[in-house]
Amino acid sequence: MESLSNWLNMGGYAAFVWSAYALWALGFAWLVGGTFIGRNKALQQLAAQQRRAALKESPQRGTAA
Amino acid sequence: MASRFWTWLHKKGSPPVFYGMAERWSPWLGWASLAALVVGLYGGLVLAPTDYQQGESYRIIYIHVPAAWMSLFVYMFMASMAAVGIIWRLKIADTMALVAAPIGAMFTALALATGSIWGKPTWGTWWVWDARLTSELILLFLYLGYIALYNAMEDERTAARAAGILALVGVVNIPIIHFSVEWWHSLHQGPLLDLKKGWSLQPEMVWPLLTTMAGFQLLFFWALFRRSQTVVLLKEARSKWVGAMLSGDRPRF
Repeated sequence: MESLSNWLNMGGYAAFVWSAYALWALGFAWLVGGTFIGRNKALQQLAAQQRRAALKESPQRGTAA
Repeated sequence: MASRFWTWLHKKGSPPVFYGMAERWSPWLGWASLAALVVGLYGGLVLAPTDYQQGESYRIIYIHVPAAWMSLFVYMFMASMAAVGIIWRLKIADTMALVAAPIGAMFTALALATGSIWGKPTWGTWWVWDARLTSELILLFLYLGYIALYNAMEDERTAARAAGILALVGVVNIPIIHFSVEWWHSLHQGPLLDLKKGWSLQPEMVWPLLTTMAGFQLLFFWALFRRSQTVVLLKEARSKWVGAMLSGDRPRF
């Protein structure tokens, strides 16, 4: 337990070391999270477009028949 | 020979082929990046010995150096893609240059911020207007300028061309950043690796650094492929292969 607190203390530089790593974690989260969110949004948008296109087509088919 | 190369280049650069290639490579890149980052950061934060001069504060090196390296690497990648887009009018190259820009800007901002945090306990100041720090700040402005210029124009080809020229002009800043610590007197320390003298770090400190650098590199390519896939999907929304993919059919790439 003491060794963990020593490690977390980083020889008295904890504020500097951990704030730098926190910034890295933010950047990492932005990069990874943004990538997944962007992809999911695009897929949802395209799926909605496809549904709209299918809805447009189906009544036309109905009248033609 | 040359015509074969162009055929190959245009085939590989066609949206469905690129999408398929990215789909195959992305999971490997993502998991390899995660593994390298976990191992590298564990090595850097836990296993690496304390520095005799800087104490534990030197452990910022394990994110600062990879971020700074990536800021240069991504810029060169972006400029190369912009050049390919301008010269050979390969749309996928323009897409990758556009996608790389915000990632590179993030790495540059991270290098500047972590460097500043490291500078305070090491130099006693958050910031100095020396050649390395100033040229790195200019790099951030170049990234932001590229993004702003691209988004300021409606026509995509014109936007890619104008922003690409800016990216190519900005390449002149890369050797300035790299050699600034040798050309001018600087508070910033010299290069960690001297080709004649070797590493200025102990071997126990070097392997975690190389591993995190590999992790950052793989993470960049993972994000580049995944984000480029998203842009390609939106651009190609009306094409048959996207339609087939969305309806659940597995298209052949």
